Amino acid sequence: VEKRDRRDEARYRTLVEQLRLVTYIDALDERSSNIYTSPQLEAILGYPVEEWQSDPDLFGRILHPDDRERVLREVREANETGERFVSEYRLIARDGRVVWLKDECVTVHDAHGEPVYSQGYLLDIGERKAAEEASRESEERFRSLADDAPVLIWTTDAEGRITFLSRSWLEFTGRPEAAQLGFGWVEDIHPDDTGSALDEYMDAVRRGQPYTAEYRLRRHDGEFRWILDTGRPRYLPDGTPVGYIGVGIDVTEQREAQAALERRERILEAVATIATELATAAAWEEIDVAGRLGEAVGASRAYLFENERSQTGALLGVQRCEWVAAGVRPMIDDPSLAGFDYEALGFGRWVEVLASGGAVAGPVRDFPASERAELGRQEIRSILVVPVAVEGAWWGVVGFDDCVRERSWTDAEVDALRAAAGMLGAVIERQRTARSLQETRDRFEALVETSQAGILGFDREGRITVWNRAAERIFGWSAHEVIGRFPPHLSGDARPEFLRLIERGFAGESWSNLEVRRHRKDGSPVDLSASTGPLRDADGRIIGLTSVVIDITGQKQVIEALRESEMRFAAFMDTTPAVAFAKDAHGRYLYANARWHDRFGQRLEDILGRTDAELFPPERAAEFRAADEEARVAGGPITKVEHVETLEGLRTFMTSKFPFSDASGSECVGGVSFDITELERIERELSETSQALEAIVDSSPLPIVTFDRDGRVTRWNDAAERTFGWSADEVIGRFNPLMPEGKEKSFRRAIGFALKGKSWRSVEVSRQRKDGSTVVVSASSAPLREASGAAVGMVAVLDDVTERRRAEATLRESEERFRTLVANVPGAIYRCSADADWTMRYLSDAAEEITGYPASDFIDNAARSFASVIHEDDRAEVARTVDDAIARREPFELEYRIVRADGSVRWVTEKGQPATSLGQDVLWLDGAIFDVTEQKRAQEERASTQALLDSIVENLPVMLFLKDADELRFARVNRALEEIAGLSRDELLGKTDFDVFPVEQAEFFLAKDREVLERGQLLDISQEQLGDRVLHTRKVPIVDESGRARYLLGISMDVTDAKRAAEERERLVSQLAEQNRQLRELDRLKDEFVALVSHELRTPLTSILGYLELLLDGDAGGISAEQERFLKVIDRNAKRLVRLVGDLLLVAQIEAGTLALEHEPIDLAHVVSECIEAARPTALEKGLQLSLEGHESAQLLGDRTRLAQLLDNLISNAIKFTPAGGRVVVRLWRDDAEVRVEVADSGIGIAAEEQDQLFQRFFRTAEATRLAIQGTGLGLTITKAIAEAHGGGIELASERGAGTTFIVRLPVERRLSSRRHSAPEAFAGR
Amino acid sequence: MTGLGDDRADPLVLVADDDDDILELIAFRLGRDGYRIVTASNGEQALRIAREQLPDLAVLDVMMPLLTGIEVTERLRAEGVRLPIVLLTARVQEVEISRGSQVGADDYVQKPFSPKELRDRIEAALARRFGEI
Repeated sequence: VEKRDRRDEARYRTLVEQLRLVTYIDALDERSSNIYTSPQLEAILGYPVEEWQSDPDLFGRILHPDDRERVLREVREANETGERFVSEYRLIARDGRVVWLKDECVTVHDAHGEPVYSQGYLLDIGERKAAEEASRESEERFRSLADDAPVLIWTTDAEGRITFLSRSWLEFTGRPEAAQLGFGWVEDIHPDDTGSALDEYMDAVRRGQPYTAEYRLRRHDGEFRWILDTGRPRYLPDGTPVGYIGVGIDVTEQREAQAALERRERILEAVATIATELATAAAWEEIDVAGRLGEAVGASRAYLFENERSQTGALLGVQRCEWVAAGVRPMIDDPSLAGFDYEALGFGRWVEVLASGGAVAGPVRDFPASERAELGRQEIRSILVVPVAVEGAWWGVVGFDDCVRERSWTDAEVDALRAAAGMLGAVIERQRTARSLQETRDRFEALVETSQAGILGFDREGRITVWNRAAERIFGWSAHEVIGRFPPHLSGDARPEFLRLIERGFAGESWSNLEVRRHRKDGSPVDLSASTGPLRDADGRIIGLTSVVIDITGQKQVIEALRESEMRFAAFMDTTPAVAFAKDAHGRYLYANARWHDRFGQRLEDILGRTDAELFPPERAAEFRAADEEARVAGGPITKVEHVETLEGLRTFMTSKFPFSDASGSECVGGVSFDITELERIERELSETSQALEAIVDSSPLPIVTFDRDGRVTRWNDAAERTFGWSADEVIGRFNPLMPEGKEKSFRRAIGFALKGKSWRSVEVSRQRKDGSTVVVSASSAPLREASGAAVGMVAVLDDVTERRRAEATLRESEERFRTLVANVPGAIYRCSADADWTMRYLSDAAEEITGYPASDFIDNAARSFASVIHEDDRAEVARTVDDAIARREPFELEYRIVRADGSVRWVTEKGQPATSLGQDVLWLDGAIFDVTEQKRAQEERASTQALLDSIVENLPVMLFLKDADELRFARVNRALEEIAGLSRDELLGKTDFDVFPVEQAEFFLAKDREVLERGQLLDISQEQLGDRVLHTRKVPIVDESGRARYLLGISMDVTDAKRAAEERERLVSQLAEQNRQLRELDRLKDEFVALVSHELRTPLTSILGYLELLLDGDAGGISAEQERFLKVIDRNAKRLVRLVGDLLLVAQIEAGTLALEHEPIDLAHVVSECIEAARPTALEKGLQLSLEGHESAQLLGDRTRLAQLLDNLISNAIKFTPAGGRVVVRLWRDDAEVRVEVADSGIGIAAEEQDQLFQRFFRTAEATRLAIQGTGLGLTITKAIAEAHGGGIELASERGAGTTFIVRLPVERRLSSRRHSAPEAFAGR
Repeated sequence: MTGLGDDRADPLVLVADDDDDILELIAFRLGRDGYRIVTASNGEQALRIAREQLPDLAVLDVMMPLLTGIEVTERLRAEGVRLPIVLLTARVQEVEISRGSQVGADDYVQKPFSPKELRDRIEAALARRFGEI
């Protein structure tokens, strides 16, 4: 027994001494003397057991002073009570270390219950104590850290109740801690977010998952701020959950900045879209600018206002368009926005800001009270208004309202919208310029084309540059035929004169109403009144001549015919010895010839319009009047002998009177009176003495013939001889030779009458001359008596009236023509006295059209004088010119104004000439007055149009220049060019490009200029450099009608900014394209490389695996167990390599889009089972549970191999990433449409931020890398590709630490067509 | 063994591959199962042997110098030679082509292959062919 006890003790001792604690046995004596202490003591305290046992006081000495009193007391108490002693205290080791020990001691009793000794152990609890200390310190540190951290920190208990909130949290919310602990903090969450935030939180707490939520939390100032709140569960070392610790971060700024950036992107996109659309739009209004920008900005309203001035000059904003978001009240019909008076409505500040290019932006509550009222009315809570500038001036605004939120606008957004406004301004500017240019052009062309006058333009060579429709009408040539040609309407000999005129015109001369004769296309002449003047450019340089021509052929003919007729008439009348006169139906004298004056001393002007009653004594006047009436009643000429008092005393006239009608059909009377006073006297004397008679007969200017009773000629005076051709000798004694044959009888009858004493006068009869011609004579005859008084024959006076009759007929005809023509000429024809009143003697009715007064008003100044209607300012000049013409007896031309009856002013031209008597006395003025107001107005308008064009050219925002084609010197430049070139007009004009620009630029310009001139057509130079500006220039030659270039016109737009932007964009795009290309190339190379390498690997792998198989099959002889194990390692790894190569090839196929699938009916349940069984050994080896749930059959069409690969990948992944003890479940479901396979594990899970990238090839999770879990990062890529190639898809649900579930859905009917649908027939039996 | 009739001599198999290691591997494996082997290391050689020695079956690597296995197969088929042909493929494209029935091969085996699997395929091909006769 003892031996056994000894052995037991030894064994016990060994055991005890192997424990890592000090075991001791103390006696129950006074001093508790130590019986046994295990040797570990020395290792812990540095004191050997012998020293410990030999020195009973050692324990007391090395007790830590802080513990000594307590421990000794506890020891004493334990000894006294005999109860279990348990205490923790510190001892000071020999080397001075403080050692924390747990001392536990019990009293051991013998079989009789007697205490025998006490037995205990000392355990080194230094580590635990240190841990406790550390924990305490950590808690302290946590608190101070949490309180000082800039983030909001909280902790909860296991039920999710808040147990701690950091000082920052409390300061943030501004509410007492007590009110927020537990679930009190929830009250600060924005009502809209409370539900979701709390759900997320409680859901996480319930599942023990990490928690993340974003919600708005009320800050102490009442503002809601966005908080990103994350929490993680905390566990005790034994895995017991103790609650959460979380951190909240104020992400309001980030969120806003992010949102602003996104908005900016959208705005820029919208700007780009608008820019593209505007480029092709005819007008900016066609584009929904407001809508596009409004949507991009995320505004409630977007709109455009254009500035206008009210009638009182106030600045108004007029809303042009508006876009409103859904549910926002439109303001487009609001009357105040149809003319928003900035100043009056209290928005003066805006005008200042916007006009200087600034933007108005911000929440409305920050705005002055004056503005808040109006903006509040429109329900605007925040606004952004950006000015739009057109041609450098403030045109209007584009604005955005936010009626939902008080938002602020970031610089990025404002800048983007400014860009939009800038672009809009540029487009409006362009469109406006284009439109005004077009309008001006249209107006000018319309004016030219509608002008009734021909408008012709000439260049320096006299070639036609302008030829309007009226010109076409006048000349017969169309513009098409003559533009660029030398005027075809000039006859050859008119050319030198024409060229002289052109030369003079280019010398600056101009002339009005120059009468020239030209020819029509059909060769007929045309008379023109041409007004010509130089056409100047803005610098006053003459660049052409413009002629306005009026066809005056008609007028001219009229005037000439008139003049001719009058001259003939006057010549005849004034040479006839008879007094001739004409009276109108009222007996007023219309005309009297010069003989009247000789007889009566009255000038024509004295009698015109007067009646006989006014000119002659009453009884004489009555006589005349009766004779007039008689003639009118007779309807033909009558003859009267009248006795009238003349300057030469009482004279006898034989007067013939005849009625005639004037042009208006009014009955007039003309008369010719021969003075027969002498004749009568002779007759009388004859009757007294034949001698005297004979003498008289002989000397009579009228033919006098006497016949005997048989009709034989007895006398034949000289006048008869002259008139009829026979001499007296030839006819005396012969029968009357004057009678035409067969008329002898009637003559004999006449003789018979005469013998009976009858006489007659002025019977017009036809007689014949000796030469056989007929002569009309006015025959008067009387009996020839002897002294006894017996009639013995007949005496006849035969006045040759042939010429007179002819003259009378001519007079009538002329008179008719005169009147007809006068009535038809467009101007007023007049004859007036050369007096101060221009007293009218005659004035055609056209005067009424010109003056508004009846022509009769002016006749003899009946109602007014003509002078009185001449414009006051012109009267003196008219008088001076006419007086001058009168003095020189020359025709005159006038242009002056008439004040019409209605007060309006007409411009007239007048052409006249003084009519003079032979004695050069001015009798009257004849002339015509034409209304030229329209021409005048046309001229003025042309001048003003020219000025307008000049000013447009000058103010065009594009550069414009004209160079002469020969030397290419600047002939004209506009202001825009001066500004862009930085050179003044004076520095440019007359200079070539080489004089003013750097050589290279000048050479470029020159080359282009030459090209334009050589090709003779417009050249579009999309870009050229001028200084540091880039220009888009069009050059066009301006040619004369011979086709020779005269000028080169250039129009340039400054496209520097657009160009630079385009270049930058171009550069970026090409850079990106290049990068893309390189990437694609790299990718392609990589794919090729992978395919090649994979293939090259397969051949050696064939050998490796093949020979391994031979070895392992024992084909090469037996192998040891060790050898077999090693060979299997090689085999396993070689197979892994095969799989890798296979995966790589598959990925390459997927990338190349050449993944091909079989398409056969398979039961996926079988495939799943096979895969699970294949994986089971690995799972078992790893201590994992691997199970299959769900349906037992799942038919579909697909590729068995690939689907197996898909499942293998998912299952092997699940196994790989699930720690020992976990489980992997594969579930299979199907319905009519799809089959669903889930592979769920309880593994390490996948971080949310990595889930997106999971299916990218070669992607490996951080956790997989960290844990060195094998894998290529290809499996899931392939898996996804296979699922998708089957027309299905893959999703996953995973949480870190909670496992992962992959869900694959495969349609039962393959929706995606595959390259091949079944295995080839050739292998069907395989 | 192969299930062939006892009255037949051991089948003669032409194995063509430009990789000597693989030739030896196949020869060894098949040799152990009683096949007689004749080898070729390029396409022309294989074509010649197939014409002259009239093997019972040919195993042809697709990627061979001078003529590919596919070309050899096509020529033989064009000449009316009906021996069973098993192609060895490495590239994906080769698999594609080999699977096409117009090539005229009886089967294909993708590299790397197990020698035993190749043997099984050969046996199957021979069985099918002899079964037809």
